[in-house]
Amino acid sequence: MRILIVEDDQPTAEALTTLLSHCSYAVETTADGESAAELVAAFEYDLLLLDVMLPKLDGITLCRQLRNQGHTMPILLLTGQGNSHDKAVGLDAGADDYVVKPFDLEELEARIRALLRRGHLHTTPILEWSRIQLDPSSSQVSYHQQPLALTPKEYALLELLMRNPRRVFSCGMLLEHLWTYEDMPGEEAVRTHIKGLRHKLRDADAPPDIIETVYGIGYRLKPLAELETEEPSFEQENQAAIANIWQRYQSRISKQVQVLEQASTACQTHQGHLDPKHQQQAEQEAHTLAGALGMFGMHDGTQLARQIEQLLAMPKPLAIEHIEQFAHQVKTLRHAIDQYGPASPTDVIDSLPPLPSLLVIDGDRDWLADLTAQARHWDWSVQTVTDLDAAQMALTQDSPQVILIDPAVANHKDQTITFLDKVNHHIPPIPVLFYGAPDGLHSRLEVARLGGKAYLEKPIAPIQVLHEVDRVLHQSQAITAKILIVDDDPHLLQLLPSLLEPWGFKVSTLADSRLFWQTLVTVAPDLLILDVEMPHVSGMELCQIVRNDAYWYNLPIIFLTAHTEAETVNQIFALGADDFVSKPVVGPELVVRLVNRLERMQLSQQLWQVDTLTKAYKRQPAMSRLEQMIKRAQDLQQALSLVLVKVANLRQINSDFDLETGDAILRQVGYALCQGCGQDDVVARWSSNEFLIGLDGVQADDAEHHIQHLCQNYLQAHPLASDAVPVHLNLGVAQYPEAGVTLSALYNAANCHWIMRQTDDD
Amino acid sequence: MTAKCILVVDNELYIQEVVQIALETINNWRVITASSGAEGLLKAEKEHPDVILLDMMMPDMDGATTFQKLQANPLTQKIPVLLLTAKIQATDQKRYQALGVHATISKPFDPLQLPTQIADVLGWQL
Repeated sequence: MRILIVEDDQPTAEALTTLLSHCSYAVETTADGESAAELVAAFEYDLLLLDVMLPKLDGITLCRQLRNQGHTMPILLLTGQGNSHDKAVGLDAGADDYVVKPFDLEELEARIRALLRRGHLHTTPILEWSRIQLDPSSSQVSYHQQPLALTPKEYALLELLMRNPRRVFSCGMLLEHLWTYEDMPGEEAVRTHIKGLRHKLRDADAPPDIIETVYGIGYRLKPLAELETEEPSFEQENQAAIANIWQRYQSRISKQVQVLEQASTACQTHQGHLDPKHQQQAEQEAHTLAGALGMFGMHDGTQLARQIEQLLAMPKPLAIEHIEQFAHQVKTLRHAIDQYGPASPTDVIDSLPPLPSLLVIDGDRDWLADLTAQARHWDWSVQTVTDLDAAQMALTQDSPQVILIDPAVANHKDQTITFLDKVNHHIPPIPVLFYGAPDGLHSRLEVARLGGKAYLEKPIAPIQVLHEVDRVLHQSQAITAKILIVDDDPHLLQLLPSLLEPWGFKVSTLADSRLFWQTLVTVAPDLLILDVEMPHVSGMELCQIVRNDAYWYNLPIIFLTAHTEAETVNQIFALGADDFVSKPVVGPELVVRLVNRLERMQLSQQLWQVDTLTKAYKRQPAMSRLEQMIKRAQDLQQALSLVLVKVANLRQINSDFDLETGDAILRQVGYALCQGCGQDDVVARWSSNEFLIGLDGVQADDAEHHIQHLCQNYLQAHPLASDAVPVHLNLGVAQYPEAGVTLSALYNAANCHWIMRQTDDD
Repeated sequence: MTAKCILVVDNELYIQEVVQIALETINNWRVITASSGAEGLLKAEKEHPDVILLDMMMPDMDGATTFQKLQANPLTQKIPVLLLTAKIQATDQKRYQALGVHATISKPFDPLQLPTQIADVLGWQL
């Protein structure tokens, strides 16, 4: 962390330098306000220690000036005056805290630590990332409780990464943060320290890439989601293995329940009597189930099986109430077994994705029951509530993805407004649909004012509502995008990710436009934000380069510019920009504007790119994406796999059932594939019954395993596929470049190399 | 931690598998399995495990009979036997103790706790 001390009293400045250097901070000093302003304009500091009485420009004026210029680093005032008025003026001028001279060094150190934490929005005094713990108060670092002996620079490096856990730091940025400019070494020094730090972490059994190299950009801490995937604890491994046993033996357990069902039926038919064979089998199975279900975490199941065991042990014939009790408990057990799936920590990545969730607020219980029944065919989980208090609770606990509300549930309009205000502040945003009695334009206007996404008039069939919800849901999901921001302003590069990431964007930043092309290819963004003016290569030139490239020409580009005069704006649009946002922009306003632009752009792209039934890409846009992918694989010399998934008996399903059933299967398979693949992958509906999936940077073996797993999970877990409708999926795989170097060659190879073939095409 | 071999005798394959997964998270613990009393007797004699986890209710030869046969065989009579049983009434508990088994472990067990339960009963260090 880099600190600037602005202090004209030399002994004080020296004492502070010694103290703070000792705490592994990079410290610079200057003796007057004007030179301090120049230094802050030229370099990036994590904190300013500012004396109030300074020559040329006093501390309070400097503080106000820096805040007016948009600098956000914490400022700690040093004041020799015990005058509370001065302190208040200092704080009003934008300082974060002050200490009164003569100060206690320990207290000063603690205040600095507190400010650095606050400055980076950390609330816990001990920094943690995965199993790394860093305690700034004692400078102790450990991995999985194992202490690490770090050099001061390694410590400072790790602290910087841990205080900015999502940020990628280039070598240049690390140099700026960790060294003073008088003693700044070359980039090689950063690499040496990174290597040393990685080595020590690895010795403590940390994953070797916990400090990740982001190709062409720099270093960062590996995202927690990826680390946790790689490092399951014993308990997680155990749970996953046990969940796997449940899946494999579910049919055996189902047969055990079937024995109980047969015994219950026999008991009903023969007035409470059971023949010895049924009796013995049923007792054995009830006993086993009582002893086994709890192992899988199904304690209710164990209770039921135990009660059934006790009923079976009663003298025969059973009384009528016991026969009924027996039948009821067996039925409840059957239901519980069919519904149950033990939690597995690998579920998130390996098995069926979570269902989209819908919160419906309506007083009409019959209508709610109809809607819930229909929604099952759409693979949605529906939570229904009949008043706004319950809705608020559901909003906090379950974070639904879409809300459907009949405004008539509110006692008063203000109640609706309060509720919607809460919804509107939710991150990520939740779209709200209104439906209610028809009363013309007035209601529609009200809804639009309240931020609703649609107004539907009652009476309306549940299926129509679900179509509308589906449309809105996919509009709002489309906002997830990868953004690359190229700007030479380090403050902006720091600010924008923290503003955009909570909205679901994956943000990469680049300060040096000379590294643009390699970063573009590595990041493969969905949208580009360019600064107009940059040293070396300007944003306008970058825009031209992108528009001239055969693969990237249609990438959406937004400019950030301080020049809003007509000439510049015209020039930007003439070069092919999609939009511009003027600088300086206030944070929330910028977010809203970017989100709006992206929503509209993605919506218009979606209209021609995405298949409305399956939400996978249509063939034509998918071809261009897959070709881009092949080009990238070629440029970066990395693997790429294509997997072909075919609903082989679609025609049979359509003729044996109906077209709607066929559509439901396609929609479910499409959903399972889209949700199970990452943002970098392409899932396309290739023909009426085929999906083609491009998996970037993945070997054929892994691709095969992943998609096969998704398909098998779908077949096993989906009620429609597993019980009522026999769905046959065929899977083929091809790897670039081994199986071919063009899209058609890879498709043909996947169409021959079947790894799972449940049936011939119908 | 010394190496331990544990024989699980249970006619349900999925219970065998859960026990195996639960116990083999401990370094140096190895689980072998048998699906009937008869198979259990053979494996106990051949492998000489450090402990036998024996299901009580099995078709053909039940846990009590299997235990008596283990006791009657000089090669297996010293191996401690833990009964795995879903019957938890006090009278059952007394009956099993009267048989001379080392201890009983109630089913259903929590797979995450099972290693500790066994180690506690047998005085093993984890």
